[in-house]
Amino acid sequence: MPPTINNSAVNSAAEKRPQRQTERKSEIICRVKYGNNLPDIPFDLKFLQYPFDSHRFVQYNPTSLERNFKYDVLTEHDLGVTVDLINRELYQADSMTLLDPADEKLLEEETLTPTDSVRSRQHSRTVSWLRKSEYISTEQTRFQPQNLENIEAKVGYNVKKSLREETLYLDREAQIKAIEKTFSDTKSEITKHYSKPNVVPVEVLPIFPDFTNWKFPCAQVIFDSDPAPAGKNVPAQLEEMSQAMIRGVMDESGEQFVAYFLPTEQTLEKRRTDFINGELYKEEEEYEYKIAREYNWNVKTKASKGYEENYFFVMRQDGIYYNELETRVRLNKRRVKVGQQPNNTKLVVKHRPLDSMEHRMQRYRERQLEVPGEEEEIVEEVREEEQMQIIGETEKTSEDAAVGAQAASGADSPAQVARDRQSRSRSRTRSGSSSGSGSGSGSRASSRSKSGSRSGSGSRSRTNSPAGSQKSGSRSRSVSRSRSRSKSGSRSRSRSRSKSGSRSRSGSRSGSGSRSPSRSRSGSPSGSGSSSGSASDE
Amino acid sequence: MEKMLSTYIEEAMEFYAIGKGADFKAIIEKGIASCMTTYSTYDRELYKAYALLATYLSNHAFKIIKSRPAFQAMAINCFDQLDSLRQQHDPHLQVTKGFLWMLSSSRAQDADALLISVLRNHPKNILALIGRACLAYNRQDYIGALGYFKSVLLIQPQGMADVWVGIGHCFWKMGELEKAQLSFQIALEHNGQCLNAALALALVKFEHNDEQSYQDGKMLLTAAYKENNKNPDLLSILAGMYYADGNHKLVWSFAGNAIKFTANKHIESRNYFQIAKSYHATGQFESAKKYYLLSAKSAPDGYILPLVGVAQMYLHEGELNRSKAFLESFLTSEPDEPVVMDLLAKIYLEYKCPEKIDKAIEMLVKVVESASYHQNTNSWLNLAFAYEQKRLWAHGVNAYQKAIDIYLSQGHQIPIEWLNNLASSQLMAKMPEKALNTLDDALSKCRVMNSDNKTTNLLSLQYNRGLVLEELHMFTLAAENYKSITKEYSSYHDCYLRLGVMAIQKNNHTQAIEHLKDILVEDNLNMTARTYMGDCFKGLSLDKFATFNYNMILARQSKFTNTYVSMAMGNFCLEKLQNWIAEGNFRAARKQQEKALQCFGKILDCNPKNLWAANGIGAVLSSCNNLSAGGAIFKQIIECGNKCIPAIINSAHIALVSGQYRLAIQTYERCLKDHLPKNRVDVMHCLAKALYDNGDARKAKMWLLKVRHLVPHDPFVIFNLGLAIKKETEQALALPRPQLDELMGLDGLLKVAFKLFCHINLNHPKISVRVSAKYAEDCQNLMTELIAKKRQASESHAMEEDRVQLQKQRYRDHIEHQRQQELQREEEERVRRENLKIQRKEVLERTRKIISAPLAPDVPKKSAGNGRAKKNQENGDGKAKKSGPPKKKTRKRAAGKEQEDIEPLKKPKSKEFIDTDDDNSE
Repeated sequence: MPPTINNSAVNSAAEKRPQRQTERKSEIICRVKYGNNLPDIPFDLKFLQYPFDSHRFVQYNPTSLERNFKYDVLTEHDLGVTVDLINRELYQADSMTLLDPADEKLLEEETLTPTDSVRSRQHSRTVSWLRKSEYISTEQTRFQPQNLENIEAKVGYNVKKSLREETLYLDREAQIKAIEKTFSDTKSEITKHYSKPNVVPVEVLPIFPDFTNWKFPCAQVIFDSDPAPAGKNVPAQLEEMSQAMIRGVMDESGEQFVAYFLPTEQTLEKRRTDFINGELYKEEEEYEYKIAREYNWNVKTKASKGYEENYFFVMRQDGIYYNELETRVRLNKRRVKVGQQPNNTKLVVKHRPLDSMEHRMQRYRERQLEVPGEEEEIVEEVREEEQMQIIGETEKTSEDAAVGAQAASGADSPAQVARDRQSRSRSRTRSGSSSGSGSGSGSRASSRSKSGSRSGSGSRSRTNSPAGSQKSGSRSRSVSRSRSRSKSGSRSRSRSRSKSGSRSRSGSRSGSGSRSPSRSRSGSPSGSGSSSGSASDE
Repeated sequence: MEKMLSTYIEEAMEFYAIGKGADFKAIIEKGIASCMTTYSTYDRELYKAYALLATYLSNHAFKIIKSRPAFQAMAINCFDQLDSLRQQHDPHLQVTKGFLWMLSSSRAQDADALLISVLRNHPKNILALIGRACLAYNRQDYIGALGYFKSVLLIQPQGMADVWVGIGHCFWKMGELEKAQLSFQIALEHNGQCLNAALALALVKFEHNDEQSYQDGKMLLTAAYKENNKNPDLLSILAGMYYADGNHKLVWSFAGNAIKFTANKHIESRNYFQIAKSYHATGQFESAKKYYLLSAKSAPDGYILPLVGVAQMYLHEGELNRSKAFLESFLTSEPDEPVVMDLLAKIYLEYKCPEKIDKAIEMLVKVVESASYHQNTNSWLNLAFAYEQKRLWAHGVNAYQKAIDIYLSQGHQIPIEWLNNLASSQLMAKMPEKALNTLDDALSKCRVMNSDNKTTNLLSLQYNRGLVLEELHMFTLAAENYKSITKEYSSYHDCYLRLGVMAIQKNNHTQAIEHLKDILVEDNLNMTARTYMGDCFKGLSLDKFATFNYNMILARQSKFTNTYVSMAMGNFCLEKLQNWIAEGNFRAARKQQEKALQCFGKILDCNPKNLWAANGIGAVLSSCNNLSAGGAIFKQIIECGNKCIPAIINSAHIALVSGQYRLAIQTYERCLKDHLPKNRVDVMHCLAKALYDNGDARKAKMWLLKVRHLVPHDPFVIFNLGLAIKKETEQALALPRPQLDELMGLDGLLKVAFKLFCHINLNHPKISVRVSAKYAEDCQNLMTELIAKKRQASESHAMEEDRVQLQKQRYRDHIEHQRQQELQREEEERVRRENLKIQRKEVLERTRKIISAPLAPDVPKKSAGNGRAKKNQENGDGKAKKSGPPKKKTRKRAAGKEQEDIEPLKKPKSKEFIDTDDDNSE
């Protein structure tokens, strides 16, 4: 076929190209033909379509996930261990019944493998050339002052001594006998000192909790320097400081600090008159105090972490009483800023009766001394005497027992204190009932154990009985002042903010009445902050 | 007078004792709301009331799952009230609060802290220990939880049975199934109605995977169901069991109740799935789809089982896209799940997209390699089908073989369709012998067995057999095969088509036309037959008939697109275009150009990757002297990697016309050697032209001789051959000193060329008569020049011969002279050797005399010695005179040596001389 096509094409071309031939003699007559030959039409083999089942895709086939699926036992939080939280009797301990041997075997731990036993045997082997570890105590080098080293050494000695005593209990029976012995010892007569052979008792006095003053919270206030006013003799200083007021306040810039107020001459006169007349205070009478110092405060209470519970003794005519210090206030002198004017704040105190909440708080505190049986009874005691016991002390005069109480602030978190007191009471109740002794002996046992731990303090108290009597008198007076302090706080702040000299009795009374519940719930500095907020609302 | 709060509390406790929790709660709440009078013990009783209410609500929150948050909130309110009363902390209340907070995962640590604080003061508080055990279990501290449960048992050995349930759960999680089973059994012994123990024990039984354990577990579950028919876990497991037994009504009932009583999303989704599974198994696809979707909707993260079901439902409804989406999301979590891959592969194959088919093949390969699907015939068939679509025939054959082997091993009869498809794949995989065997096997089976599609299957099998025979070049057998089919089924047009194609391949266009007419008689619209008819007429140069057939096809272009016919039409227009250009009719040529471009452009619109259409456009442009555009098209086609031989040849044509003769020569030679079939005359002709234009007339002459051997009567070949010979002669005569041998050969060739040109001049007037006459005259002139050149060459040759003889003579004289000189040297050497021998004899004789003489004749010996010396000297002088200059030199040296030897002898001789005189005087 191609030769034929070429013939016709070339024949046609030859007729038109003679002239070109004359022009280019050397050119071969060859017609260039651009081709586009196609391949043959493809004939594929015929495939037969196999008639598959139409449901082969819809037929259910379990996947490997489903085939390997295992039921999880439970997805509930309680593992199927049904508990009945209402019927408590179901969950009492049963010490009489023993576990079935077959069940007990099921709960046994798997025995150690021989390798582990070999290893433990190797570890337990003792060799002579390895010295056992010794823990070096740093008690003696902890404190820098020389005079405190002896005290710390004694403390360490006491700890070791008590540990040594505890090791005497060989078994349970011996411990029980020792405890029983403490109850019987209280009944024996004291004829000699327990550690000093040549000391003999002159008088035997019982030690009881301070029933009359237990309802008042007591605090220890520590000053960084002597707060006594300058330029006066010691008796006058003591008289003023025993009537001083400590108050949490806030300045114009919003900073909180503790103000130390001393009574004015007029107030001192009024207080002397009240004392002579045998009155705690006069109704509707105003007592003025002038600010003397400003302090930065650091308060720790029984609820604070690391607080060490302390107790103090009071010697009275009818015996020796102890009470607890549940708050410790440490005051550091506050630096006056540059350009700041000296503070001329005055504190005006007007006394009022306690309200129901304050009564309730005092009732809670008193109840801590009661035995469990009395809680069920309805006791409605109206106490006419309302006093607060305050102890003041400085570091410089810590060894001087002659210094009396100076000032104190209110209790911190009375609700918490009440709850803690309740808890302690409950604990004592259980201990008493479990021991099987009567309430009287229980109370005495507690007193005795505390007395034993504080023997040193007791000795000091006895040797300084005249100072103790003075202390008792000053405490009685300070209680009254504390009560009046809580009444007139708002007046003081209002005066300092408005800077006006006028005084209004009715306004003062209503304001202080509305604020006293919130103030009594929280500590002094934070309480004053809260009160300040209320004042700003007015 | 109002009742006191303590009275309300007592009444509530009585209701609780008889199991009426709701009344208990109502009375407590009523008492708190109604008693407002303050009395001495009111605070304590109020505290107690709130404590009881909080305890009840916490306890109830554990039991009720559906509305647990509500009870939790109520309990929290009660605890807030209790806190506001500022009472001392009750350890039991702390335990209750701990249990309440245990229900919230975020407060588990707070719960643990509360329970720890209680245990610090009361180490034997059982509730606190249980709470801590539950918390430890929930944070997967199973050993710790077990320890706490043991502590509970030590404190209360004969306590609640539920503690043993907890212990069993710990052992279960720690993998100690035996101890777990024992623990659950102990729990059931202590409390036969402990549902949790029965449930757990049943599950442990199921782990043993034997019939007896399964039945035991089933009985336990049934007994547990009688105790409490609202436990979602129990209902869920029972539904699964009844599904396995085939009791679908019970499955729906139990699963539905499980959904009703649970608030757990996982349990809810699982039971929806079980309901859907049951509907699926019973063929209720609409309901199955509904519940599959509900299951998928409420499924927590990671629970993907419903996705397969949803996909299958959409597949049943024909929604492939949605089904594909669900299956793909399943595979993102479980990449190697065979069931899902099998389904998704089938969906991909439906798209008939190369990328999807590749993915389908990849997944199907994984499916058939997995353990569960290795013996699945459908999967292997799907894989074979995928390979067919990808035209990977060898793999397809392998897959078919696997499917057939599996089917045979299962004891089934192989379907005819499979064998036919296997044979087709084998033929496409270049295995025609195997294909023929497979088809014969299938034909024998198909004739024996009776099936619905027997007739069509037989027809297809026989037709395929014909194609296989064609592939095996058994054309006679193939023709007989096709004719036998047409006898039985006269309307089977494919056989006529194959017969026509075979005739075309034999260049028997007339016979082909007859076969194709048989088709068109019955089916005038058979486009394939008409296409081949057009090709046949074109081959016979019957343009009108070819155009008629092509136009009939193109007239129906609106119905379907036939790219082959458009290509054929385009090629037809291209050929006419080239003819018109050769004739000089440019207007008609332009018309054909537009038609051709239109045809090829239409094809490219349908299929942009059609190489032949692109090549056609390039050919059209090049034919119209748009060489740059055409060349660019051809170059792109060649560079794309696919072999399009027309494009390669066309690019060589472009090079030839552009004057790049070397490139053209290389391309033509490569095509003739590698790509083209033998005896492509047109390409050879172009190669000859390229060689001629490149100046190599000799090679051009050789290629033209080959062409003339193939087409002996082509006048253009004759003319070109003569032209090549003439040019070769001219090139030879142009040499300054031509060789005589070459001139002798050219003489004959010129005579042939002269005859060729005369032949063209007389017989083929299409070629210019004047040109041929001129070339004939040129040949005569060249002949004359050749004769003169020959004479000159002869004369030069003769002179050259004379000169050669002279040189030979001189050479011979030179050799003779050298030979004589050599003889002289030999003679002189011989003489010298003789002289040396004589001297040697004299020395020997003198030595003998000295030895034999006595002492008295000493004096004569000395005199005799002197005489010899003189003689020697004389002899030496004589030899030197006789020899030539080189000999003289040699002898002088020898004489010098002798003189040196003589001088030490003279001194003792002088003494002897004196003695001799004395003797004479005496």
